[in-house]
Amino acid sequence: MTDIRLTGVSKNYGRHRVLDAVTLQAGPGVLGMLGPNGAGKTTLLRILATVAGPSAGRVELLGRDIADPALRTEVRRKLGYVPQETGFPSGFTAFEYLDYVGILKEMPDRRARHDEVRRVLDVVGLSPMARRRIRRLSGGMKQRLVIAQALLGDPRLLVLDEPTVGLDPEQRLRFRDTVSAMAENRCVVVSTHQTEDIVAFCPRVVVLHEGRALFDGPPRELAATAAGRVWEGATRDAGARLAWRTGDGALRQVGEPPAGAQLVEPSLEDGYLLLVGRADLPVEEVAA
Amino acid sequence: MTPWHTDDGILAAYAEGRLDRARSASVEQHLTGCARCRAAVLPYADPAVLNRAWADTVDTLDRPRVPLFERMLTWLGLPASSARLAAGASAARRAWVFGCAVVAVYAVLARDLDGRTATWFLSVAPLVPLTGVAVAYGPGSFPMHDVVAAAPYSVLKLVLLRCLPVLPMTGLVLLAGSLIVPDSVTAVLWLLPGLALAALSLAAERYIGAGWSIATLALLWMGFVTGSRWSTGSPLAAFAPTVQVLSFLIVLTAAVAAALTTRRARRLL
Repeated sequence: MTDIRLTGVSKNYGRHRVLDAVTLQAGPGVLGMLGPNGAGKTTLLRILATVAGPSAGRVELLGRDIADPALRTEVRRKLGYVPQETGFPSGFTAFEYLDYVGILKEMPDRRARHDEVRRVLDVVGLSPMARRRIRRLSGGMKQRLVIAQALLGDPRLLVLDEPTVGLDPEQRLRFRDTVSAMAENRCVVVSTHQTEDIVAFCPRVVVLHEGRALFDGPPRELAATAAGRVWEGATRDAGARLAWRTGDGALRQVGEPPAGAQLVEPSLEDGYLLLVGRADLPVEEVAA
Repeated sequence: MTPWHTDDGILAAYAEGRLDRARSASVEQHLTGCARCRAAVLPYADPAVLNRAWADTVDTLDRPRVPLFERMLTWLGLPASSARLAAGASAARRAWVFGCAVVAVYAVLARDLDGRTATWFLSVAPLVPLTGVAVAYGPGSFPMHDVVAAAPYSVLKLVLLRCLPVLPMTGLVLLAGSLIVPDSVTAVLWLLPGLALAALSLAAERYIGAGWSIATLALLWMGFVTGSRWSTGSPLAAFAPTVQVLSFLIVLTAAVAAALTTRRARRLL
């Protein structure tokens, strides 16, 4: 089943085109979105979350055209969304915040709603913090709370904009476990800057750059685009597009073959850097 | 541990709910201090009843406290979930109170000024409910804007609920307005146009966004006030009976549309 069907979707803010005729289809599973800042990831995810409308093109979610207000509301009943940035109502506890979002998600029965709140608090490991005021939670806990609100009501479509920001490694693993389990029978779209997240749990990745989808496929194919162009050596070559010193002291270089360097297996990050760097990235040295 | 124990027959009757309240209380009192009888009553207890009792206990302990303002809204007849949404918009409430207070102070200060100032007050006052809508729904005023926008809850109902906490302040503005105009009828002339503008902004919001709808309507209103005054020579031309009737019809239509929207949303639940 196709949960997401975008056809020629563009979005303009004034004269600036943020998305340029993006066409995309996705079914159950995790779809990763990679791209530099300003690539249009957040705009695309806001459209998928029905928060913003496209300037042109057609958006169908869960088989419904979201241009129709009634169908859009139907989609929202089955949608979970983690925005890139969000705040919290002042003075609320973690439980009260989720209770509030539960009401917005049309859960009128108090008892059932509270049971659901307890369930999602347990899923994100925040049950002991249920009665703590949000302003007293750490950044990672607040992020888990935002993830918890997206899980309320067991949504069919999850749209997560940089959900792992602020999570420590253990919480990140727990998040991957939760999302992977949910993605077995529903569509999850995850935008991230973390290529390791993509490698870890996204069977498919879309690379956005300047509003266009430059790549759409499995992460290993993205990595393979850098095959024969990643080298490790002792000295930096002037012809390298990107070069950085790795943890074991070797200088990893992406681009043309440097003298005396060894060809190495490319990573997803190499493929990504080559793809987006091909257009406009200057040659620069990146500290590892 | 007590030296005596409850009879098995009584324990069974207690577990099955066949004892009267006095005897039940007596057995419960004994069970709290007697591990042997607590163990003896277990086989008679229905697991479903025990689970329900445990879930009730957890629910009672976890239930969020209900703030005074929210309790007041419930006492006034608002459903508990709606009261929570209305009370949750504390940021919006503060901004509303601030905005209304500014207008009220302006009105009181203008009390001793000439009739021209009073006319200007009447012209600006209808924009107060409009500004309230902006505050109640604008992304800058409500930190959860994107989370709310992605939820299925009726936007119209939510905005109306968010506006609810400021009704007393709107009353204050009305009172302040009555202080600066010569008679009480003139004092309320702004009310219907104000409500009509707020309703129109809500209707336009879904098509052009809250910011554009409010800015456009505010400009149109000020243009209408200036234009009608210039063409007729009357400072209160913008509040003529035809405008009042038209405003009333717009408010009435909005109220009917809101009721129908809410009913449709309930049917879909």
